[in-house]
Amino acid sequence: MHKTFWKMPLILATAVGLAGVASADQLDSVKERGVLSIGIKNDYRPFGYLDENGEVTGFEIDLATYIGEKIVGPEGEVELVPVVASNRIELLKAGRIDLILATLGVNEDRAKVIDFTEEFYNMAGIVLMAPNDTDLASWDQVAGKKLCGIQGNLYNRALQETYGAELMLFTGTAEMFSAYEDGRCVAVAYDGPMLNLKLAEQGWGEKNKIAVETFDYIPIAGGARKGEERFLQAVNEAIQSAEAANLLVEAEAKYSMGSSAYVNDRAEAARKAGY
Amino acid sequence: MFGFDFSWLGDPLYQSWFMKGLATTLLLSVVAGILSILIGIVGAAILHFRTPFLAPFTVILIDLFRNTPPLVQLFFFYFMLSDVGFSFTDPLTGASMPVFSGFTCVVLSLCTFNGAIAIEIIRSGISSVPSQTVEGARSLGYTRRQVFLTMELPLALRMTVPLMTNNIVSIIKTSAQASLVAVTDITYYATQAMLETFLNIEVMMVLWLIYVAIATIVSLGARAISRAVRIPGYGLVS
Repeated sequence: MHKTFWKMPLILATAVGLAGVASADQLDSVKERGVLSIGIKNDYRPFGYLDENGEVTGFEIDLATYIGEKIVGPEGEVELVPVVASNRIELLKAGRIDLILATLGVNEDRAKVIDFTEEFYNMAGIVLMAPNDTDLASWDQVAGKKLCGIQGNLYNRALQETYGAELMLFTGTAEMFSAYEDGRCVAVAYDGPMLNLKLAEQGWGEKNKIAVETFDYIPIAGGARKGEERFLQAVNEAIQSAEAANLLVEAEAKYSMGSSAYVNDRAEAARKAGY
Repeated sequence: MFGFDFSWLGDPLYQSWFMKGLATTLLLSVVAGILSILIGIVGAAILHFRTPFLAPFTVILIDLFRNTPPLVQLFFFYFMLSDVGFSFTDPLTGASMPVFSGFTCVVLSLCTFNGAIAIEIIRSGISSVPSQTVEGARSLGYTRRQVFLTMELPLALRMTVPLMTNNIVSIIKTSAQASLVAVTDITYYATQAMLETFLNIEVMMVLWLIYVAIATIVSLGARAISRAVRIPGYGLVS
């Protein structure tokens, strides 16, 4: 079954690669079909997760629904396809989804293969989780300290080179948390949302805290296939229209994400721009 | 060349990573290699003299360590031992720390697995020492201990150089699992480089070459030793 599943995108990709150039542009074909497929997360609270009824919900889901309605109209259909970080760009390139709204951080390497939409959120990058009685209060104090982390995290290099931390990097979060619990490192340096979620677990929140907040934020945007100018334009207009309508400001409150200046400023700017 | 991009090799950062990683891998292999030979000698002696209590215990340990994956042993040493009490309180910070560092755990897992195999290798060498030689020594008044130390053990070590080389090369290759417990060996840094450069094939090729080079050097060295200590009339001339 796995084989077929992975071949499908390949066949589609070939088809798109051969025929795509000549065929009608994406915006027209989406409108014609009346279906907009959006890749979302269903395991990443509060951006996209399953609620107690098993319905997918979250910050980006609200935005996805709004964009869908703007593009295919109220009688059209928005198809939400669950994706993970490692397959979302492949699925987009293969044509299985039209748009990524799955905590997609903007960076140069990705910009080479996809087009980013307007940025609509600023996610806390790396934060430091440490025991309640820790002395660590700022990133300048981590020099020479042993910190647990995950191989491949965007910030590992900055932590080592700028702040001089001694990183112990694991492949999985289970090993990372286990090593931290055993006292092999004094703190965990990893994605803010993930560590906040860990603190919500029983036995973790009582003993540990976020000792140092992030030194950097990653802009979150949608992702579209490269070169689909009109489609990208339509999505960007829909995002700004959602911002002007205070949809994201309300979503922040609804999913208890606090109120960020970033989202409020963008809403203000969108209204000024006349959306 | 074939569209491969090796320009990252010129970056001093990646060079320093690979050198540091290489040093750790070599240190791991040397320490674990020496320990495994020592374990092999002591274990073989215990089995040879059928030492009470220790001999059955050694047999159990050999079976336990030889028949479990070294990676499982490593995870056991690294994650489980501190859970069952192998930890101490650091007097300076008051924090609870595991007794064994990551490096120690890797060395332990390597020398338990390959040490168990080394015992069997040396035992096979001892049993291939001709009984006439042993009997001749005994009739000249050598004690069993003297026979073991001056004939059986040296002859066994000389005859098993090729087998022991395989075991050492196995240690070098298995040491790559250090990267899974955040010990900064060459595989760990190669993984880091892959994640940063996205040049998986190129980095992997360099990593391969380095392991092949280490293993080849060890094999060549061992062949020279093997030739130097060859017992005339025994084994193949290579």
